Amino acid sequence: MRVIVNGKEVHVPEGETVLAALKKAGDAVPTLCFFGHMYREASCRMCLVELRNGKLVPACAYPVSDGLEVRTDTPRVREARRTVVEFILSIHRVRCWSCPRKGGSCELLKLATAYWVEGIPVCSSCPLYGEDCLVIKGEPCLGPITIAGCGDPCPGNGSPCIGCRGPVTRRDVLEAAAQFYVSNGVGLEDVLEVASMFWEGLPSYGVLKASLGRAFKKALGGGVD
Amino acid sequence: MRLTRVEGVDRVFGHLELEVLEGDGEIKAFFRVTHGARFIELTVKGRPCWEVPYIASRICGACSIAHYVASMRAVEHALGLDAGEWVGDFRDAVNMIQVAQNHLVHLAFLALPDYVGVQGLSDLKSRAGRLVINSMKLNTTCLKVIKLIAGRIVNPNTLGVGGLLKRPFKGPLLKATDYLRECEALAKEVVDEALALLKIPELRDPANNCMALKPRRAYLTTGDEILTSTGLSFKPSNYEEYLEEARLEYSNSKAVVLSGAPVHVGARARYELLKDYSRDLNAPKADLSNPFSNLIIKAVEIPYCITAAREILEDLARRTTDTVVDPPRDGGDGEGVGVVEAPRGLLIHHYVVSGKRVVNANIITPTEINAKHIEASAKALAESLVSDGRPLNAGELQRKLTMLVRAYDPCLPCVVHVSVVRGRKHA
Amino acid sequence: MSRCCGRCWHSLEYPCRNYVRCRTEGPLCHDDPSCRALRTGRIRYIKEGPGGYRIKVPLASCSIAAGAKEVLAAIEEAVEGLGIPRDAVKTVGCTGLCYLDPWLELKAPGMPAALYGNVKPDEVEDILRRYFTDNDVSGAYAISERTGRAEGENNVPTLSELDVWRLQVRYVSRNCGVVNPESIEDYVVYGGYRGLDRALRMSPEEVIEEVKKSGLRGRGGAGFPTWLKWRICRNQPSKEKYVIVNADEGDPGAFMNRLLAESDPHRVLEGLIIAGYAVGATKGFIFVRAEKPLMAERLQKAVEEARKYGLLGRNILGRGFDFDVEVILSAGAFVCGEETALIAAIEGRATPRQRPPYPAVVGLWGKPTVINNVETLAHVATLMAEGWESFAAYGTERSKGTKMFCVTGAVRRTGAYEVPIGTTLRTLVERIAGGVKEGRKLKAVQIGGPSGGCVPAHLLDTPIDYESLRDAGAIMGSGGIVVMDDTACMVDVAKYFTSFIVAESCGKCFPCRVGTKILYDTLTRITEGRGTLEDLEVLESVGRVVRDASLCALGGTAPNPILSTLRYFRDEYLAHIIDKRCPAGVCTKLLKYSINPDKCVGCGTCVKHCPAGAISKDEESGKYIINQEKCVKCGTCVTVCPVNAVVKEV
Repeated sequence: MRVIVNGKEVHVPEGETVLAALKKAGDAVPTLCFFGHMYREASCRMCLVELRNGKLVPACAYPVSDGLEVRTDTPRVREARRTVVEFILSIHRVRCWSCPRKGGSCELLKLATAYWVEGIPVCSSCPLYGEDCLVIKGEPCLGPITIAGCGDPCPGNGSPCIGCRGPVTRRDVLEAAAQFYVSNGVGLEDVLEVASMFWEGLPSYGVLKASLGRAFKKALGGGVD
Repeated sequence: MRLTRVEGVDRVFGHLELEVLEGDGEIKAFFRVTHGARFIELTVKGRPCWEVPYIASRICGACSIAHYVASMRAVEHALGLDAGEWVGDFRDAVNMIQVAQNHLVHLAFLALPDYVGVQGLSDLKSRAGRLVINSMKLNTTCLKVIKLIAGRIVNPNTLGVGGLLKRPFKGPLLKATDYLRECEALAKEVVDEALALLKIPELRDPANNCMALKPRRAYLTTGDEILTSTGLSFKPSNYEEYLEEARLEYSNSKAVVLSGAPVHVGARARYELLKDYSRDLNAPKADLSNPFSNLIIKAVEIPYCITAAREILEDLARRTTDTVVDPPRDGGDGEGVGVVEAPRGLLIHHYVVSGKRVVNANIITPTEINAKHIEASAKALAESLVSDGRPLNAGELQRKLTMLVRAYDPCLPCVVHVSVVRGRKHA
Repeated sequence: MSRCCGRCWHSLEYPCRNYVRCRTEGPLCHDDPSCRALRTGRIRYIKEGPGGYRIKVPLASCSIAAGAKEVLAAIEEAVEGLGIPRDAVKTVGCTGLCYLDPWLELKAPGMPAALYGNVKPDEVEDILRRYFTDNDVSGAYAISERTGRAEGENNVPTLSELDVWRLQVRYVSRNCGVVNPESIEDYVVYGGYRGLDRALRMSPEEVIEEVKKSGLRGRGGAGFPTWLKWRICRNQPSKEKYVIVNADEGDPGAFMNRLLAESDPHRVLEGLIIAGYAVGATKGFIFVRAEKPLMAERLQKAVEEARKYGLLGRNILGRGFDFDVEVILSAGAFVCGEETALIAAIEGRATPRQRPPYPAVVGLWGKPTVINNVETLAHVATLMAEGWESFAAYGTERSKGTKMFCVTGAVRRTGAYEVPIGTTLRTLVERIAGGVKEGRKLKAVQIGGPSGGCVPAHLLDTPIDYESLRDAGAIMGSGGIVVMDDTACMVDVAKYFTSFIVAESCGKCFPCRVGTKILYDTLTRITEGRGTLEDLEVLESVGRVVRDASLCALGGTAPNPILSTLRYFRDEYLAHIIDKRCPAGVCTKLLKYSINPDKCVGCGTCVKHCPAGAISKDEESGKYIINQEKCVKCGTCVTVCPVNAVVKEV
């Protein structure tokens, strides 16, 4: 079957999906739920491609037909993928500091970076794990509450993160981070001390401080806000 | 009264205006910095002392390492900490590479167009294409090395107050030396070609007062003694006795005078004052009383730095160190001054620490020191053009003025670290 | 339904081909006046009742909910005393004039049939006496004709004079309210199973051709040409195929399918059998949602009766066609209305699948499957009996035939009405359903349920067909129409439908699972006065992605209510966001409650009930005042004040 991928013509056998055609053309699309023969239910909606009539279809499940035209990088596709990543992040249980995928294997971080979605903490790409983690050592490293994307040169080189990329503002993440800090003996004052260096001027700083305050209070078991 | 003003001097770091006022038989020059004030000296007040180097390194992305090192040394001095020999050498090596990289960018892209007769970088490529490309290659290598051992190409993060934050493994150190070794030849080639093109104009320095830091080992390593051409030699912590700072009414920067007279710092100053150490530079014969000769010395510092840094790193790889530290969170009380030879000259950081916080800060950047001297040189330049018998041609004056300023290579973002307080030395 | 005499040899093992025809035209295989008299007598009895006496009582979900069972009990008590034969009482289905529930239809020989609406059990005896004993029809809602012989005839309109009846074309709903839904005999007497009879005399291909000529499009909402779906399935090489009736009808407020299935279930069953024949299936399923138990019960009874009389099972009507049907109850998920989810529900777990491949190619257990809506199959049965021209006589160029619509909401006459496609909304809403109540203004008409959109009042002349509605930003859907007047807040409406979707999202794909919740939270913020202008952008951009990226039509149509209300009622959204006002006075958090001092009697009841302690006494005047800072806008004070002194301000 002749399939036109982003203007390039490739040939794939009948019965194959668009994903096979994309692979042949060398134009990859991200996938999350696709797992070969074991799972082809097209449920994550990351692999969407655009047909000529503007409809978005999942490449991993859509069968090829002769003369099918698909595009992998149109504005609609990008908006759809970006929003899907935002959706995933919004329901994701963010615990990067203790996640086994930290330090380079977080698929969500890769997608978020590729589609400009912010909100994942620095810990997700930081290579320090276990005893090497600066917070576990008791230092007020701002990794758990700073948004990732810089490649972690600071913690990667032993210097605690000072938050220059901006704060994570999601309440549940702040609460969990506070728990992490408290259980390693890092106090609110120390964290705010470092945070104020770069975040003091932010319009959201007041709210952030209040959120952190509540989060720490909750982590210390100090009652309900 | 004739005013020649160069607004928005191009090919310098930051925003600058030069003015030459001619009238009543007198010529006055003004070094007016229009770059917005950045209040760094105020920003660090109240911060924990181990954080101050992070802020200080962000004064300027071009010399972030120099600021970082000076700031760290000031804090260590205040707290009475000693980082040790290994760390001191390591800081020297990193500083040297930044000096080389900085000079390279300045010479090849900012200063050189004047001497090849073009205005901008894109035109330069057609006149001195190979030089430009080689310079870029060299630049990339230097940055690669900085990233490898300092952690990041700007705002380094392997260094910390009291020592290092991450144990330096032999691997990266040796890899860095490999990179440096590979580009030594290239550096020589670039410098030779640059020197051939640098036909500097003549000018007599009106007051050849200069100042530099005496190295403890080789040229451009740090030290603890400041030398001047007027025969003075003092410890950095005593700088206030000899250097006076004053706010310029017409400028967003301060200016410094040494015993009442303008003084300059930089490559030329270093070379002049540290003759005993500067033999390795293989500098061509140059009239050091000509401000433009700064460019020539900068050029030869490049290959020297690369080789010297490589040697230091090789030596460091052989020696072990155990200076991985935690930040000194207990703090202390004290006052400290840290100095370093930045690419543009002597850099001073002075902090007063109380508890664990910095309660007072004073920073003197090389451009600040050079400010008055630039004015004096500009005045001399204008006078020389008049004294030739020709009427003062505004266009030519403008062109020559900007070339002169570029010879000093001022860094305006650094120089506006002040707080803006009229008349008074900032508090 | 039984043999007329010993000469009839029809049995389930050896069925007679003319069995259906013979029920009404018979006997066909022999000529015997007494057999014929037996037939015609039976037919007359069924159609006209004993001696021409008839009392019809509706027993469908809507009428039962209105109290029909109590009315029936009252009737059964009263008939003895009035000398009316007991078997004159016949339970039937619902006519669709639900605003009259429970109604009664009375017929005595020589009298016009009379329809009485909203009957209460204690009125029954009086009504029966007046009609049967006094021959007086005054008090009836309508009569069938003017005979000149009944009292008060001239004051009562005939049904054909009433817009609500006159403007309908009761093509598939003809038996609703006429036949006893639990009797296959009734259905056959009124012409039932003629369609099956005729279809079995043709080849399956000819059946498909007949449906094609009629132009029938699926009545479930998508409007896909029925003949095409059947042909695709027929052309699949598999030996095993299935046909399924989608009787899930999940749209809140839609009950056309329930009405049809409870009032005339055999018609639906007949359509299913015809579909099975056309496609080549041997098994059919009726997928009913468990929340409509009477519907399931009646369909099940119909299946059992059909089986009993050989219209289901082996060798149906002697044509060598084997087909049987099973009724399956769904577990109550709205998503089951979606084809692939329905199939998955039968297989075990109701989540939709990516299409293509479409169910007609790969469906239930991987076999080619045709799924049709209840109303579609009812149309099939009817048009097969009467010929495709009867169907194509109505409708527009691109959409032929009639459709049932449920009109509910702020109208005077809620009910289910069947009109030709292409009828304007105005006709349906204002003339048939009577328009909005006195003193109110029509604001918008919501069509298509949670997947549909709102058509504003100024577009009321839009004809109801697939294309025109789509251009207006709505969809035809399964036919549920909700009328809104000026007491409806369009933001609240959008929020309501979105909340429905959020609850019913199956969770398989991210856009629907997460995106609809984000839309709902945003709408909630707006209705509570915490919305910003950025929220409108969020609604539009998230809505776009939910619409384009969802796996199935549930997510794909979820943003429609929001996008259509934003299109036509943006000013209302802006009022909520910028002015923090709800112009319709619906969103409680944006209302201001205050006590009118002229009416307040100082009883203090409101203080006792206020959960926020926001009411206090003004010592000087003795009247009570609500503290706006503390008021949580629950509205309790409005309810409890004995003198209605609490005023709600927008």
